[in-house]
Amino acid sequence: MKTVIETYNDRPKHTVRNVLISIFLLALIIWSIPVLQHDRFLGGAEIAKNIARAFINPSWDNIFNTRVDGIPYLMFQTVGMAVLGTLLGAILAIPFAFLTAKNIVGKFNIIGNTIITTIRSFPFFLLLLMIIRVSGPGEFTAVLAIGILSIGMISKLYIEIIEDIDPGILQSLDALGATRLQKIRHGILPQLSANIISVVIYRFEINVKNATIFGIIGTGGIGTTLRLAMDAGRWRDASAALWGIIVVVVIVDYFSTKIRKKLIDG
Amino acid sequence: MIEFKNIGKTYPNGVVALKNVSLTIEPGQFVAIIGLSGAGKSTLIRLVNKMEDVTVGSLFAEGLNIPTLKGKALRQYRRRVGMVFQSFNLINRTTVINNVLAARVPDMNPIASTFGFFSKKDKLIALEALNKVGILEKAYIRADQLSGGQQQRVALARTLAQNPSIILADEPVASLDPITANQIMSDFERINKEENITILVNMHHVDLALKYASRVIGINEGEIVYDGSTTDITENILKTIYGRELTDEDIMFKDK
Amino acid sequence: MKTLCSKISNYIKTLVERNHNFRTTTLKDGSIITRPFSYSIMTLALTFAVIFFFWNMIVTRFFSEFGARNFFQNIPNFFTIIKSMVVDVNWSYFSNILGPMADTIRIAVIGTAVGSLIAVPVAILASQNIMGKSRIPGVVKFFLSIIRTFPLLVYALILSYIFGYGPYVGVLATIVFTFGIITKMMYEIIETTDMGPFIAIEATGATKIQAFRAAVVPQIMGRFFSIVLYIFEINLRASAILGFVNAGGIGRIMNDQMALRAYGDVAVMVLGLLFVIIVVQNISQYLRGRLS
Repeated sequence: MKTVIETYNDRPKHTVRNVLISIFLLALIIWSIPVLQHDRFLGGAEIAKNIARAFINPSWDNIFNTRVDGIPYLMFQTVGMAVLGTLLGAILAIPFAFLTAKNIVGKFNIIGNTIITTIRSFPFFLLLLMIIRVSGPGEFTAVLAIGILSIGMISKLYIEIIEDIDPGILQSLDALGATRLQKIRHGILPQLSANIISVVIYRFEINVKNATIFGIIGTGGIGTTLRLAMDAGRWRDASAALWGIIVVVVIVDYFSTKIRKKLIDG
Repeated sequence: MIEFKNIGKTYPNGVVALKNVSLTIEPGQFVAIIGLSGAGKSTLIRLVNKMEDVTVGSLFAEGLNIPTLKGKALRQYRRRVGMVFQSFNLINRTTVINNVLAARVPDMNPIASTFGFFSKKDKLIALEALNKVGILEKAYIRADQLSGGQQQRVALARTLAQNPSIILADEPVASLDPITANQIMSDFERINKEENITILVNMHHVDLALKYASRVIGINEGEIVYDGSTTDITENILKTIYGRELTDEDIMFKDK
Repeated sequence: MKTLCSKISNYIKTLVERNHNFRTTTLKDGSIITRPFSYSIMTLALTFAVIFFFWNMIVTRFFSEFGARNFFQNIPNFFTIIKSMVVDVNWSYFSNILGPMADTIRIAVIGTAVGSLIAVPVAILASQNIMGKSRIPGVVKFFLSIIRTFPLLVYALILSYIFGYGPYVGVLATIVFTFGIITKMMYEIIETTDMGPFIAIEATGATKIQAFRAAVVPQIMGRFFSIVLYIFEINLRASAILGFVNAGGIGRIMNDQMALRAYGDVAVMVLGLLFVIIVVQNISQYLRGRLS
């Protein structure tokens, strides 16, 4: 029977490891501090005040303007880019996922894994610039970029779903005389469909934000309007664009969460 | 009719599951196969619909030479043999009726089955099957919202929708509580009498087997040690089948 | 007027009844079963309509303006660029990117560190189970949800007009962005933590802060660091674009070199970035493994 002191002294001590990690992190932070140095605070306070004021008082005409340059149209356009892009990604990801799932290709999944990781690590900014070389700076370009970039995450989530399939139902279908195609269609697909939709909607949420980001870089939608307005100092127009973004994101997030919850719980 | 003649089954890893098994099952019989776990009960049943392959011996069912069946012929034969599993094997995410309709898939034309367009006739067959096991009102409810016993009934309805002449059941009540197990076994009994379907059940609960089946086959280490009616079974015979005294695990209703 | 209303309601009633009968089946022995109204066909039709609408808005317009032939002729450009990047990797450019790469990493480090630090007290304020009956959590969550609607680049853009150019802006933007995400994740965790120990310790006379430190912190610390590491990885990737709005990092020169078609230089930057990301991912995996 150990005494209390002995037990205390024998407690697992990760001190050395913890200290090393903390030193490393601290060093990292200290090394990074120079990035905070800043000389030019050009008329910042004044501009900040203007922006803040504009935020509370956006360009109301833009907001209710139903023509092509009005906020509602731009909101739809941005959402549209996300919808089409996500759809593209969802479809393209299917072959990747099936060729990388362990229960389908076994050990060969390392090939697919490497490809998917490469796609995921590629700087997305660069991909967009490359696609602009193909189809110019426009909304369609954003759709392509969003689509290709989505492949990474969507494949990964597809793979998780596929590897989770319950094989039991396949046994039943075998026992009642179904062909291989029928087993896939009626045994595997029903298990996957709800989850696939959930994954796609999740990625769609993210892609709406991406569509905005790409817009700032120059591919249209609300992002471009925001950028142009701010560059020209038209704070109230910019503010209208910001409110447009808020409305879209809030609505999309709300419905997305609701639908995904319903899919899981039935 | 099912005929086993000198059947032997050895698994690739060397395990001898069945030795020199011969038996004949007439149409319309309700047969229970009992014995220790690993004695070969499950293997015996799975040979009937070729889920397992015979190593030696001949097996005939419904006039067909089972080991020679392949491809389309095998599938067509399996249409007539329904199978119920211990783990139900339903598609949890979808409705009860969709699960039963899966049984109609092999008979549908390829376009309809790819798109999942079931005919009114098929839907009626599915609903009638559900009605026969007493859960018609659950038809449009998601399968995973049902209790274990109800789920097994859905599985049973699925086999009925095939319009089979034989139903195989591999430990159908092992996952169920005693009361539900009783209900399912009496469902089997009713189907056997009303639809005149041959029923072959393997189970490790002796009292249930004796209560519902008319014929019992006892297997010990891959060989048949008893083949006769339920009424002729004695304690000694049970000891031969199990090779030991019966324990609590072999009985479903413990206070009897 | 009254008869018109009653006529309409009667008509609607007959429609509903007819639909109900359509969905009802009667079996041989008289049992009946009614299929519930299926929203799936409506949803499917709606989805197709939506996709079709957006397709017209974006894709058809693109092809009519840009031209299908143009587009397909340009596709090889994409692959030519990749080929150049792979073949003409310009290693001598490496020294030029060290500075901006370092900036990119620094922005992510400080941004994540400060952002997560600020997130902790605010997350506590946003947790209903710690704050008791107070209304504060509701208000805090509301403001958080607004902060979270903007992606990183939007903050960088706005801040660049206030603070000018340079990595400082990137850091600020990252702080705000990180703060938004981590606070939400933390209050979600806190609100689903077992409150038993917390209440017990409060009952011994400790203040809320002391009880929090003693009862809640041990339960969530592991997950907190895990989340911080995960967000750090995300911020690192996002940092690369900040340069585009002149908020520091490698984005600016990447854009410039792309414009100059100096694909060899771009390739070096991509490799540098990939290297850093892989290193960080591995360290992060190791640390996160240790934390659980």
